[in-house]
Amino acid sequence: VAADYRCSEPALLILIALADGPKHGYAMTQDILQVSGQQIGPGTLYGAIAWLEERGWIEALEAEDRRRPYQLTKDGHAALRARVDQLRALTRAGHAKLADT
Amino acid sequence: MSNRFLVRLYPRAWRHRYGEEFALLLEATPISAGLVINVLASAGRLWLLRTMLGPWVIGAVVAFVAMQVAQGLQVMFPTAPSSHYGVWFAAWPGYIGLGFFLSCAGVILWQGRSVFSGKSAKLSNDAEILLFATAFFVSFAFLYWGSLANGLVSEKPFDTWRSNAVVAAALLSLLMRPNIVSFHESLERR
Repeated sequence: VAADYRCSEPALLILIALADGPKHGYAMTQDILQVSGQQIGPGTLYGAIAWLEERGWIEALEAEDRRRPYQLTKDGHAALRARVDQLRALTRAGHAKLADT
Repeated sequence: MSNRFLVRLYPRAWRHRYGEEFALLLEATPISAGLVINVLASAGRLWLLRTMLGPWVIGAVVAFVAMQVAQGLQVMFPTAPSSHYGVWFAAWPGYIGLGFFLSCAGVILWQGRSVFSGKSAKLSNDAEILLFATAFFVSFAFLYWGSLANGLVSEKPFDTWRSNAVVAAALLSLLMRPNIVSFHESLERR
């Protein structure tokens, strides 16, 4: 059975934000804003963090000054890679169709 | 004013795990209507999806709609099919409702305060099945017995479409259970 790597857009943005190293909540929102131009609300962010943690795609590290950083797990890396590959194939197909018109 | 108070909108178990770091993020975010709406939506979603409150809310909504349909049928067709069976046969929906009301109370006693704390995500599959079944039955039972108490039912209380609606919707809820579970899971993924 193929692994299910489906996730919401906020969850994907968090995985991308954590791809270059651990971050806490505020740092994630800043990274997401910089990368995608989207301002993610705290409720949405922590809803997605909880979901990702339950899936085992991210894990919490020791709290630093009351802030708790998160990092990608091995499964999280695999999920992000699979989703990015999928999006790349989708983008390529979209560009090809646009070029035809 | 600090935004910390918004943390209190979340279920206790969630606050215990994420409350402190979430409060820090809230403090770093300027308060706005958008922020409050975002937190309200997120907290409401958690209450519905992560606590045992969710199935009851869904059950109550389904029950309310079904009762309105039954009320319409009562007006259109004053004699319900159950009136042909006599009082004892026609009364059984009420007893079933009462039975499931009691079993629902048992679930609450068994699960204790976790019903409202957001720990239900850890329930076993068997407990989930029992939960969904009782949640829907109890919703109807509440409305049914509530309508009796309020004198909303006619002089022959068990001869109405409402009593049939109790059974029909309760059976429907059991049949719909797999769909409801998968709907729940798809909502969680969003």
